[in-house]
Amino acid sequence: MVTYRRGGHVQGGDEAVERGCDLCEWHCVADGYPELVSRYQSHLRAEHPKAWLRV
Amino acid sequence: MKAVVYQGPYDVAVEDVDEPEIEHPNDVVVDITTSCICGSDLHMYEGRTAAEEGIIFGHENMGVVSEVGEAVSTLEEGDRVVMPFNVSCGFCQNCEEGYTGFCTNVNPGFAGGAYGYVAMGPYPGGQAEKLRVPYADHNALKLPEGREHEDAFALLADIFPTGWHGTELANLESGESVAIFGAGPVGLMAAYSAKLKGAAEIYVVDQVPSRLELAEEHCDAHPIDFSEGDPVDQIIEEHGGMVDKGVDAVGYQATDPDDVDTETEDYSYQPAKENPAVVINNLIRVVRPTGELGIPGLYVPEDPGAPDDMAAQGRLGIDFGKFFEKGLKCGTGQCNVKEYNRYLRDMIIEGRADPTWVVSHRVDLEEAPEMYEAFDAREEGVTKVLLEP
Ligand SMILES: [Zn+2]
Ligand SMILES: [Zn+2]
Ligand SMILES: [Zn+2]
Repeated sequence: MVTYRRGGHVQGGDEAVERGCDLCEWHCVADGYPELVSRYQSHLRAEHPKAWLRV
Repeated sequence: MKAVVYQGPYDVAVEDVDEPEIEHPNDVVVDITTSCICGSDLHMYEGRTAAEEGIIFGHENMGVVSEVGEAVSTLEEGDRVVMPFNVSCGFCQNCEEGYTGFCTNVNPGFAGGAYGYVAMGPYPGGQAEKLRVPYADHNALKLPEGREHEDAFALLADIFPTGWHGTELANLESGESVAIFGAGPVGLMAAYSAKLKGAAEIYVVDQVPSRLELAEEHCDAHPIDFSEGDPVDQIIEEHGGMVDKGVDAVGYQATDPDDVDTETEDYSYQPAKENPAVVINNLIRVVRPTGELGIPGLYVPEDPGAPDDMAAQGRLGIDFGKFFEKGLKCGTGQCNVKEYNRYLRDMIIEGRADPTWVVSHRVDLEEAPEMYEAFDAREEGVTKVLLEP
């Protein structure tokens, strides 16, 4: 199975996207970019608070 | 909720007002934990602006996000944030180029918006229990959770970045000498920034002994008391010549030093106590040829309380011939807080900077009226007042 945890081509903002964290093994599959962005922020807020301050 | 409301010259009151609400999907509402009183609030307080009664004061705000608009991506309820005093959009030409103090979208027809300030757009201030923050992803700076560094982070809303900006406007570099006029909170933060940047010699000019002492103690500055004689002569004598850079942290409500010999200086104005050009002219004298001036101190295009007709139109008697002859350069304007606030935040977190020595009072919001009176009277020991709702 091909995954895109470091980014990959998607056709639209509401297509399923997968992305991983640079700092740990966390990754998530979301229904689109808006959801991905807020889940990524939530992950950083909880797990990497110092990184969260910078993004 | 409770808020500090302007009632007219020399009069503010803590009143019950409507709570702010989310008005746009990009907004958040913040529960204020700290809001500061600022020297520029005094311009309104003293009736020196077109401020009308009913304005909620407070442009230096921090707190905890309590409501989140549905288009906000990076903030959640419970996030601790500090807001630049500038309200900006993030996507106009000026914002894109980093000049968020001159945003052209948040206050149409004018470049620049702010909370709780006359003519700076429809943004009620945060000397209150709650504040609405527009374009919140852009305008709220994230802070580590908890209560640590509360005072220091509150100063990121305005005076620490604005003081830093004064030294940036003058392009101050390590090893240079600098004269800073004004030891109010912004002048003190400019002196502190000069120290952090490694200036070789720092001169701070004021006439309030306690403020000069702070500059000496925390910024390693040479205190220059202008009530004891011409400040320019004093600096030139102590430094052994003119300085490399200068910062005006006073602005248009400058006091004319009694001891200045007006026969030789021949200022165009003959005001009783104020001379809006005196600081700029002193900087022109004290900075060496080809040096640079930074002017973050506030000047206005209209001043209802000006000492004369020219100053009422924002026109100053600046010694431009001398300025040109010396090949001086000059930077002006309010601080683009977002240019510096995250870096100064990180210096605070890492213990490289701690500007809290400038804070003299942390009081309950209810005490705002007395604190405005004391701060306006430049009472000894009242340098920076933080309000806590
Ligand atoms: Zn992670
Ligand atoms: Zn301020
Ligand atoms: Zn803008």
